[in-house]
Amino acid sequence: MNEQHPTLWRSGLLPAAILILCVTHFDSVAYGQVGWTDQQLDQWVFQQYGNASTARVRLKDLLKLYMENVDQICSLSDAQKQKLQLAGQGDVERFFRKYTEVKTKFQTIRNDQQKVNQVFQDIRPLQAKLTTGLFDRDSLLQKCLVNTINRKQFLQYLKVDKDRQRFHHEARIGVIISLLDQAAPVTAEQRRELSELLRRETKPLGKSSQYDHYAMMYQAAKIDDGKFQQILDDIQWLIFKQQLSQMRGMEQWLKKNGILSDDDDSEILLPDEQVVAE
Amino acid sequence: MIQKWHFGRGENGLMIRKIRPLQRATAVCASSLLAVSLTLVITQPCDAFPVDFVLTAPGNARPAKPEIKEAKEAPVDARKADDPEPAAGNKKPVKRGVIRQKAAVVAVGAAEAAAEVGVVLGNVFDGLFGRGNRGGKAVVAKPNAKALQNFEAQYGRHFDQVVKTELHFIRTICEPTRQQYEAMATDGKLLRIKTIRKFALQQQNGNRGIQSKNSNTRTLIAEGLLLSAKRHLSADQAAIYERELVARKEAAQKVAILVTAGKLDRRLILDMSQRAQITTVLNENWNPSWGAPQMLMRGGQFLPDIPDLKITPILTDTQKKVLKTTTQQHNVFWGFNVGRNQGIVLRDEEWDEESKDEASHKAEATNKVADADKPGDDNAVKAVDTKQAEAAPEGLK
Repeated sequence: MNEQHPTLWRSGLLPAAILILCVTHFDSVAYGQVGWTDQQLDQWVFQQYGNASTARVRLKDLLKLYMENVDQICSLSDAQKQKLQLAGQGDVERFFRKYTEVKTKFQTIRNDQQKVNQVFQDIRPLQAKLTTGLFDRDSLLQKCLVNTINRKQFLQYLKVDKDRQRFHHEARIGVIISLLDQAAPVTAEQRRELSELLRRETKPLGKSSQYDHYAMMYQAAKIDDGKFQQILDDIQWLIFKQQLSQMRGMEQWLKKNGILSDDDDSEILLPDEQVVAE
Repeated sequence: MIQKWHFGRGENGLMIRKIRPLQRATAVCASSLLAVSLTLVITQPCDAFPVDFVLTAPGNARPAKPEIKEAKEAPVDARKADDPEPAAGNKKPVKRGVIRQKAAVVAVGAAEAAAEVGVVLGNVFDGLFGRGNRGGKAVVAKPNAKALQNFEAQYGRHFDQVVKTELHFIRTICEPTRQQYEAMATDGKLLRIKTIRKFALQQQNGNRGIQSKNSNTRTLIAEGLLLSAKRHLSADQAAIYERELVARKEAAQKVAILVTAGKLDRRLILDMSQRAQITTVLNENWNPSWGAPQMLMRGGQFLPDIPDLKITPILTDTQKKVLKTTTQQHNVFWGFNVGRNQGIVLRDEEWDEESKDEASHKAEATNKVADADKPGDDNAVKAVDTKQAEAAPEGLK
């Protein structure tokens, strides 16, 4: 037997076979055929937070921040604080319940690359939720807030909220013009006129995300072309029009990713106003 | 007893002999390491991920390989690595990437000559331990012809557009004569070549050792054209352009400050007074590298490296706690920016023959444009390309 192996070795067959086996084995490991780990899922879902436990801590901190802010504006009573705190915790729990559902699904198909791709459809809303914030207009906390605070507190809250929205809106308008400036420079006067037009014709976004720019461009794309043409020259308009037309086709994508929603135009209403609106 | 075999050199050359379990384990580990290295080098570049993931998850984490445990050991970097936003540029390499690079270098070293291994490893050490050079290749001072050609083919048209739109802007506001304009257009062509060389070199060097403030192609070209304007236009005309450039810069900074303050507000839920204070602090301490256009548009998760000391006095304790967990830009390089005007090809400026001798030419929007997507405009695109190729020096052709 000892005499056979050196022959195999010298012929190169044995080393080649060993190498192929090793490469095949490690290649399959490297390409994920063995399966994705829970940690990997956590990284996809929680992104900057890394994992579920860190995310939970951070979300609690955010809830605390939110509560402090509302308290500062509305001078909440203890009962109101308690109620809002519970609603906020409910939002956190609701998020983690959805995460657990996705995780369970993921664990059953983690060895199948194609199905893992499909799970990403479920992961994306979770990512979007974390990015846009758990305590947005759709949250239990916001809904509870409207029903918990009195009219005077609500008006104070609304004033601060609108001011914040105006601030962000101004920044988003600036970004649109700044990016147009990069593609086709505009004069200071054109910049001013464009700002006025966009301020007049667009609304602050109900939700905030890292894709705010797209949502604003989508709104700008709905403005009558003639209004832009009055401000821009032919070359500037040609370039800007191309940017706008790209956005017109993105409505579904924006909605699917939670960047736009059908009720973006609606304002926060008090319960009695909601009844009237209905 | 179970016999364990090992390849060794006997009296008749290579043969198998019995070895101890410890030796066997060592041999298995060594061969495994070699195999892993070879696998990574042969089959998988450092950033190769399933394409469909990358395409279908805009702005979201992309899947990494399941067996890469090292990512957990460097949580901050690994988290950043999962965000595709800065993918266009250079980012601080994650530990996972470094490990793969090391493995790749080891494998190459095993396969290639010892001298080359020395060079590669030397560069890796340079990259890892100093000189701001990351990634395992030496920073070169001159782009090679092939890299330049590739860069020109990929981005040349965009640079062309930046120069043309800037010249058009000058024509609109400064109203130069045709002779003045053509003299500036010639300078613009040279500027275009110079800027392309600069960015090709940066790309060849893996975008290392550069600042985001140098990544804006329009700013560089506009600064060059301002010098040209001072040379070819009257003092008044050049002053008009200079004023507009200052206004543009101020507007861009104002927007970047608003966006940055907005990002902080979203994370920290600032009150009105805090927002105003932070805007003032940012205004007073602004660093141009914090306002890369790509960061305004896509960098929602990233904050510039604002010194905490400037901001923390304004914040509450809870806000300070949350700020500590916020991802900052660090060394993320967003790639060079050519503006969002892809798919459009601009022709050269056209001049009205009757008015060409007039000292002051009222700029008309006579530019005809061709959309690259339209079928009938292929000739216009080709004409522009041919013109570019003719204008380019030997190195760019």
